[in-house]
Amino acid sequence: MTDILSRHLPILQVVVALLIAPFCVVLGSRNLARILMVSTAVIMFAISVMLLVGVFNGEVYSYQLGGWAAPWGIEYRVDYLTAFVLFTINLIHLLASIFCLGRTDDNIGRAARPVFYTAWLLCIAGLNGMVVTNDAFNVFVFLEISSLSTYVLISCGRDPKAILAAYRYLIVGAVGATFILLSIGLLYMQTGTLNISDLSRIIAERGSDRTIIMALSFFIIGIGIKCAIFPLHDWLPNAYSFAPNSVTVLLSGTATKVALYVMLRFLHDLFGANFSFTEMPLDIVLILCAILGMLLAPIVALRESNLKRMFAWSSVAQISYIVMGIGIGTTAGTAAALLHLFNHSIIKVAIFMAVGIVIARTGTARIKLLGGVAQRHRFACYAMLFGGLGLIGIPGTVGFVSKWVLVTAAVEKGWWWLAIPVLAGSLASAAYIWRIVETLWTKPIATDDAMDGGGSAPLDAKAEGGSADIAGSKKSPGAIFRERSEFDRTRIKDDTRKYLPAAVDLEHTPTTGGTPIHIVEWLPLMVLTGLALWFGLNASFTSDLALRAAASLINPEPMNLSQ
Amino acid sequence: MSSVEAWFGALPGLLNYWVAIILLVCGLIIVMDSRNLIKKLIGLNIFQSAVFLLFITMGKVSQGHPPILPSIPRSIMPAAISNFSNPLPHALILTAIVVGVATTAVGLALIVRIRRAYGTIHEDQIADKPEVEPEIMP
Repeated sequence: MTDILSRHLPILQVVVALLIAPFCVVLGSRNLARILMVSTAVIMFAISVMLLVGVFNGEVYSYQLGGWAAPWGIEYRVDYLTAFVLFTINLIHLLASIFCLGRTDDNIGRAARPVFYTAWLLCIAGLNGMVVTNDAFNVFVFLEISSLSTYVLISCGRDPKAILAAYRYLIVGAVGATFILLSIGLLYMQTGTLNISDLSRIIAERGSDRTIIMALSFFIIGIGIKCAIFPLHDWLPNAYSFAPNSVTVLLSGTATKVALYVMLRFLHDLFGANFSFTEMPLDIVLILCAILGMLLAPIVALRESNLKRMFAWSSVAQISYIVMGIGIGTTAGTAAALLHLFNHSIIKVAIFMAVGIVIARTGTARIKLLGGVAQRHRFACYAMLFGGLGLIGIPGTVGFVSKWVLVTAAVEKGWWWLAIPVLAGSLASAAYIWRIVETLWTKPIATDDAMDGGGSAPLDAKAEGGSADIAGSKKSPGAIFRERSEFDRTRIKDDTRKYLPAAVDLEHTPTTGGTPIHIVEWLPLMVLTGLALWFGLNASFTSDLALRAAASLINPEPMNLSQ
Repeated sequence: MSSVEAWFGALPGLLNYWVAIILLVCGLIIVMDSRNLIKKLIGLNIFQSAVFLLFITMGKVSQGHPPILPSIPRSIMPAAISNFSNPLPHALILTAIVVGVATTAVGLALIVRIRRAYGTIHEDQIADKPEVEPEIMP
């Protein structure tokens, strides 16, 4: 029994979510759909852990769909790298789907929830499929499954701009996916096979020609859009900032990471490192993009007025570090990329969870209006701060570990000057994190009080006062709120109307203290923060895993396809 | 001189590829240039169809017959029919067409919602309306 189960693990990883997804709609009950979704997430996480353990025990899973042998049939293949990425995304998915049960997205009503969960499950099924498959065309199909459901998920955001963001992402994403399809077509034209291992063997034997070069170019553009590599990142800030909070959490930890995995797999395994990095100047291109991304994206983030959008820009910057690791191309560089892929997933997902909690409680994402929020939402804000320190790369956090490994890999290759942009990028991220700290901790409480209709008036007045508004200490917070400039007041009202549940009417019903933070919200946040803390102080597990994964990609054991 | 002749001589045999490339570029230009959301989607469809045409073309084997098992016994089958076209690209493109239809459907559904929220499907007019009332989902 266990033997059969372990043989079928690769396909189960994909098929469980794919099969359960329609049931969420068919059953039509929100609670049943919730139970189904979370149990699927648990099962998928368990499968990925079993695969990881199996791989550690020296097994290489090769699953032939329908019993058709590898070059003709579709093959699912799990090695160290696959198991590592599967583990990462299923861990994130499990925590994100628990987080999704909370109240951060209450604009999605009772009737829409089952459909939302279906799209969610299809998205993660597609992402898992992209990782586990060893068939180039299958990658495209799963890419489209996950992308289509991503568009649907993004369009569920509260602001109507979410629909526009989803539409723009759809156009860009479909063009990117079609480029990938074109690249696969050109490869098939030249080699007559779609199996990645087979393709890699044939390309290595017959060498490159113009068709293969075109295939590589189309592939890089297509997957670059999906990864949001710097000049192709345009969809990401909009999609992340307007998507529902839980969807941002899911996407930031999985979607771009899986696209990066596919890029790594294609560049090293399919085209071959020799062709992509020596024959074609792809290492220079990728590193140039990475440097531009890690220097420019933090500057944009610094000027951003929306909290969620700011962290979305920071994602663009952090993806650049992963791309730099891929561009270095050595085993150490790839290991650094993978390590940062895992570490960035953990911290960015924790940050977006904290941001989601804050936005849902205060009703605004505008940094300007979030002054003093840390006094009310301590836990979320400290989690955000801790994640932010990780983004900067303060020693003792996970960000430091992966950046250290990245710089070491660069120095090993002789490209020591790569340390300069890495350091500069870290300094730039320190600037925007500091801006958040300054606002959330030291600025006076503004909107939170105005909306709650109660709270610490003296504190507010003390922080505001000194110059003109001494008398304000006697006034109620509501009065202070009224005395603010007309411009600000309309802005606050507009913002709150947009983000608060429809039932909350600001002028007539003062809500009390904000809803308390729910267990399904703090539990995943706590787990992630704990993981980030643990892996920051004791990185041996993750770096060992990343090193093995990189080694399995770059020096694969000779395998025979015939069996 | 001779290279130009060779170039033109190869043109008819490569006709499908030329058409595919022209359609590809047309579609891409429509996607990038058009300000109407539906026209953008139409451009996307043309773009995808061009790639489909490329795939279908490569399945063609010269003098190849449709890869269908004949109803007559193999022993009396004409010897000429030994050359079959490659059916695999067709199978792949069948999948890709389904994906394309799904993309179009999602895109159109999003456009319906955009029109409901903004009252227009023209990007310039949408940009004129920065703030609109949020839509409450059921």
